[in-house]
This record gives sequence, structure tokens and C-alpha cells, in this order.
Amino acid sequence: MAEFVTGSNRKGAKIGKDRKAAELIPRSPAKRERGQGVRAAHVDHIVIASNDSAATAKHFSETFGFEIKRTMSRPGTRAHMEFAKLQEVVLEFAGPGEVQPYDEVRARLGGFVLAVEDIEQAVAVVREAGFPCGDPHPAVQPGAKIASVKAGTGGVPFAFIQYNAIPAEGQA
Amino acid sequence: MKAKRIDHIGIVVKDLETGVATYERNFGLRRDPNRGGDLPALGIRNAFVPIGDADLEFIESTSDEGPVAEFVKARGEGTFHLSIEVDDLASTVEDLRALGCRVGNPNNGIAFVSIRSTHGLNLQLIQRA
Repeated sequence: MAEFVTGSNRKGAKIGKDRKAAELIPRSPAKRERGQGVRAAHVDHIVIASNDSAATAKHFSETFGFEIKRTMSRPGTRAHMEFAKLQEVVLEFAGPGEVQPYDEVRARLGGFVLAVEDIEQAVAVVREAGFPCGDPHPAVQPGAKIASVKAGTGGVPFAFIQYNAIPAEGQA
Repeated sequence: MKAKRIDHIGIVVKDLETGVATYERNFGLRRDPNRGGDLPALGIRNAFVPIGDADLEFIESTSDEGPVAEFVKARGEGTFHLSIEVDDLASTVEDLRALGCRVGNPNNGIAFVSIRSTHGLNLQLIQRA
């Protein structure tokens, strides 16, 4: 989830003077149902940030038995991620693609991502509460959209993800 | 070690009621009324917000000392620990120690792995009944 960890800009985002205000106003008709909140289904993944994500992933895999299922490096963001899955939750070991010299590997618990049923609704709920939330945009996970909550989380970085939010090519 | 599932994410807050209310109000999440409370022996009070199979555990330090109090002084509020459920805590601790990991003694079904053995991450092991 490099864009979440590194704070990189959303692809294709239009930079305009009204963007900040626009982010506070739901862009789509509110489909939120009163009292339903963001309708989080489960914790989708948890970010473990490290100055050497490959080393931390290897250590956790060998010591704690997490099987690394996938690795990914994102050109442009210079991030390297490795993913392990435990039941329904993914652990994402995230760090720089180019590891800088270090005295020791340092990891910390970063943020997390909640899987939601309707990301547009989840974003609308957050904005209705008066907090900025990024627009849903394509995630690294195929067919998924992700949106970062920018405030109102008590200092905890988190985001929403909705799978199957982007129709596959050829589908309506 | 055989990790069973992610049990919860620990989140340190300066004020428990405010912290939990933030998530209830802003995101429509709901705390579990049947869990949490004051834990004087640990110097904390906590509350749980379930999301799917895992929880968010909100933690407030009720003491000026201890890891949670130190975390607040150093970093304020934020994600504090990751808790992993295991089937047999005692065996897991033994196995990890055999690998050279530093692990605290199990206490009430919980053990903490030393940050020296986790690249600095606060990692809790928990055995449910």
C-alpha cells in the first residue's frame, strides 16, 4: 500500500485551488444509511513499516511463521512491499525500495486498512463527520479502490478498501 | 511458531472515552460493551471495538510509568501493538526462546515478545480460552 505509507499523490488527481474544499463535499449522491457508519467488514491489512522491509519480512517469516505470499516494488514511489496473510488479514511489510545504510533494522506498526462494502459511502460518512478523506482511487490490488482518511482518527493512519469496485475490462 | 490469527491492534489514546467516541462518532463503529475496563495491575484501562474477526483495542495509561505511559510521552497517540493469537502460548514462548527470541513470561494468557526480537515492533501473543 505504498501510496498510503509514503503519502504519494493520487494518480491523475487534479490539483486545483478548490480541491481542499471539494474534498469535504461528497461528490456522489450519499448512499449512506443512517446509523450504518462506514460499514467496515473486517480489517483488511495492517502495515508494518520498516527501514528494510525485505529484512523485516524475512525475519517475521522465519521467526513467527508468516508465509510471504507476494512481493512488490513500485517504480516511482521507490517502495518495496512484502505481503503475508493470516486468515482474513494481510500483513504488509513496507519500506523504501532503495534501502539506505543503517545500524539496525527498525520496524514499527503503521496504519491499517478496513475493508468496506461501499467505499463511496464510507468516504461520505467521514466527510459528513467533518474530516477530510481522499477520493477513492485504484489500489494496487486488482479491481479494488482505496481511500485514505486524513484526520479524525486519533493519530492512527488508516484507509478504506473496497474490492470489486472497478469492473473488469469488458464488463459494464 | 504457528500464528492462528490477528487478534487485535492496540491503539494508545490519551483519553479512553474520547478516543473510542471519536471512532464511534466519525466512523460509526461500536465498542463491545461486554469487554474492557480498568486494569490497575497493568496501569491501563481499555476498550474493544470489533471489526470482523479482529478488534481495535483502545488503551489509556492510568499510571505515569510503564510502556503505555512512555509511549504517550514519546509519541502521543497512535498504533501501539499487534496481537497475534496462538493455540498454545506456553509452547510458542518456548519455541521462540529456542530460536533466540526474547519473550516475556506468559501472564493471564498473554506474553510480549521483546522489541529486540521484532525489529522494534511491539508484538503480543495471546491464547484465547
